[in-house]
Amino acid sequence: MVRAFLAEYREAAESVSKTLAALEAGQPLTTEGRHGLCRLAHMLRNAGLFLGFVRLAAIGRLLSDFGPDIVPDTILPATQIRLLVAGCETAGKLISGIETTGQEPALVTELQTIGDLAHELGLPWEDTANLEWPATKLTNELSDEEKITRLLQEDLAVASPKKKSAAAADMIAIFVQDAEEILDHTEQDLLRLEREPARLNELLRHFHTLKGNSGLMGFDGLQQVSHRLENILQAFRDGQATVTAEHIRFFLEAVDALRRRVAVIAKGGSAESDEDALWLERIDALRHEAAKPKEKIVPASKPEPAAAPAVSRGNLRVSVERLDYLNDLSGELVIAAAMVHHMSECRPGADVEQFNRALHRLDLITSELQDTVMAARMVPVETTFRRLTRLVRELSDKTGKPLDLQLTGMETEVDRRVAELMVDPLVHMVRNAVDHGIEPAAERRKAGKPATGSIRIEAMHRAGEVWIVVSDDGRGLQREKILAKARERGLVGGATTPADEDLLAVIFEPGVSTAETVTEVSGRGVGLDVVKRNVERLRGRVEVASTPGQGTVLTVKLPLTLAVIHGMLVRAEAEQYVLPILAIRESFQLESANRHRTPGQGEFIVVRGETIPLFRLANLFHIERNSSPSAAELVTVIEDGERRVALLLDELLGQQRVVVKSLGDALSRIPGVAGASILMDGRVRLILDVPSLIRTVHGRVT
Amino acid sequence: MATNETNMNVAGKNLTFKLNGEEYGLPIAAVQEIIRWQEITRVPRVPNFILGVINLRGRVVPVLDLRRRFGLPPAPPQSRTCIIILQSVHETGQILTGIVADEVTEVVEILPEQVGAPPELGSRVDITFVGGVGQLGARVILLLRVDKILDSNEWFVVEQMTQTEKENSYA
Repeated sequence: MVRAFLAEYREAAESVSKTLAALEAGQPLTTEGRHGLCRLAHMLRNAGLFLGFVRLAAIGRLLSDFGPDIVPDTILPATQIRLLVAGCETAGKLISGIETTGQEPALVTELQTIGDLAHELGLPWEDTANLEWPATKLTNELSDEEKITRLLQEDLAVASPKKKSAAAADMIAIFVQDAEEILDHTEQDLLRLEREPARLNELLRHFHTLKGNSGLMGFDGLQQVSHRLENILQAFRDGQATVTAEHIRFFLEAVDALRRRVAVIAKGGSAESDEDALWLERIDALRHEAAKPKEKIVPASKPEPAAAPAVSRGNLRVSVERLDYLNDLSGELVIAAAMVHHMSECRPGADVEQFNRALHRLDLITSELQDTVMAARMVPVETTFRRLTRLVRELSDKTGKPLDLQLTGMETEVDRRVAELMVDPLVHMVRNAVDHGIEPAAERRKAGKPATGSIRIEAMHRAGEVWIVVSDDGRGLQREKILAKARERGLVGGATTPADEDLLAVIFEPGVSTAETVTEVSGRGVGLDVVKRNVERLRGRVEVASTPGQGTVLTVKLPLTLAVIHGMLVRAEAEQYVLPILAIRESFQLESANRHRTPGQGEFIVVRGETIPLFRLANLFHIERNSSPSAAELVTVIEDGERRVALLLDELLGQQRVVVKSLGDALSRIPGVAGASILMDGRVRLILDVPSLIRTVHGRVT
Repeated sequence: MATNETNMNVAGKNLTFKLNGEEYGLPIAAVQEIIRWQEITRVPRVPNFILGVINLRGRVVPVLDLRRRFGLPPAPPQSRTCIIILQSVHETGQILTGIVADEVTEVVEILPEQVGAPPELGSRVDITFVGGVGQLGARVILLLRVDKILDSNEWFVVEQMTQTEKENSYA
């Protein structure tokens, strides 16, 4: 096991030494370079943790504390470079010491240097010079495995029972995170293997890593399964066998089985399972089978050193709790800053200019901190989208419809919560497209379309929102069927014919399914309502467009961030609300002569030739009227991207950034209210939900 | 009739408070803290017993008016009026909810044998909120079922009715 670590270390250290050489030559740190550094730091820390090398662990911890702060593509200050170089070199010396003697050498001077540099940079550093881990005294006569067992036992014996379980839980958590990530990559590479034979090398690496990690944790079953799978891949690579679609399916199944096992481990369950023996048998069977020539799909590729390594985005894992805490904290800071502002208004002091400069600085820091925290919450949609590749492949198998999935805008960043809550809706939208949209190949040919059905999923930033568009080139929604279903369920009155967009929106109602037959894929009348529900939870909306014979387009529109918005504080009678700035089109004084009344109480205004319905916010929200109507009133036109509504307000009180807080589950679905925010006076103000306000209002007019 | 099980549920240490002259009790485990009366931000389009929300150290917490919830006459806040913050654990995490009390009296231990069944007043009087009646000598304490009070699915059943009658005037 120590040997496995050493091999991995050498590989990582080589790439890092190149990075360091470049840094010393005054070049900026590249994203890949930073990734390499973080990887090495992680490896050293884990090795320290697992194998009991304190000094290595300390260096690893130091470097991983430091890594996330480095901004890629900048030239690092000399002290930082010196620390990196000293850290990596010392780690190298420690490791050569371990290789020859099985123990960490003391290296007092080197570690002292690192400590000084860390101190200079204000980084935490444990003085390891005098630390002597009981484990390092073990003799070389023991095998690696025995050493680790002993190490762990001693370590656990020293620690208090509580600490012991915490340490073990920590190790398991690290293992699970890694394993999940590896399996995700494995799945993707398997799915791409047919088109890109070079992926085989990536796959080998994934299974190799998984094998190593499982071994370190003592998960023998997992280790053996990954080992055998690796062997088969090896055979493919060496040209002893060829990869068929059947093999890929087998491997995908294996990935699922491994995922289930990891999930069990994550919940604190046993790592061993009866399934292992079965899998080992199946794998061996496949191995013999694979040796015979078969239908050839992929030519066995030669090892291809030029194959580009999987592009890593240098992602950082941040615990959700920590993120939420940071988020709250930055929110409080915003409030604090607002309070200082408030003070300056009340007491004009002597040195106003200086005070204002200080304020300006506080503002800068505040928004900087907020932006950083928000950025940390953002993740590319790639991970969310990636899962759909597998889904489409399976749906294609099940329904017998050839399908092509195109993903664009994978780099688009969304809030972490959006990424999580959008998984289910996307799955349902894709299933719906395959089952109800895409016709069987024969029918498509008859209609003059390509036999392969096409599904496009696109993510983009538009107008301060994130749009996720799912489109298919299938038969389109069948309006008559939807209308019939809507009437049957009483969603539409028997005589009325709803507007097209309202009719199509019916598909998002629970219990509405237009599938003629209930299939395994979808059609039980559950599904698209999940889309609507989750999207609304994210304060977004979903729109549908469909052309018969040409396909359906579902567009999910979500707010860019869930954490902070720019708002306009408005007053309606005695109450104050926050109106998101992005939803405000214009504000002006409205002369009573320009207000028009329709039969039946409705009012509207005309702006540049467009008629816009007019409402008083106080009435919509049942706020008690105290003021008497005046000749000219303040009107604010709000819009949700297409529809507009004019709101009569009493006062605009000014703009500010506000932190969005949830009203809690019980009050989360009040029409017109998106959430709450705590303002500088410590009071809660509600944030208006413009799309939902417009919907309610339009619902009344028509 | 209260079963033994009900007695067990509402018996134990209770925080007692006054509402419209009656004394009520809440299991102490459900109470996070008691705060002074403060201005409450009204939330539109909710049943009238939801007074609105307050800021509890950065958290937005809804506040209920039990007088209205129980069909008692509303009363303006007095000097002893306070807000009892209740905590409950939900699948989405810990939930805090405030309830308004005329005045908080004390914490008393109520033994299971001191708990009587809630009175049977026929179907027209809703006493589902009362899990039992504690009798300490001459003192009578209505022991509340926190789960019933905090069941937000129930909150909006009432709203459906009050809302429609309000939907009239536009601009």
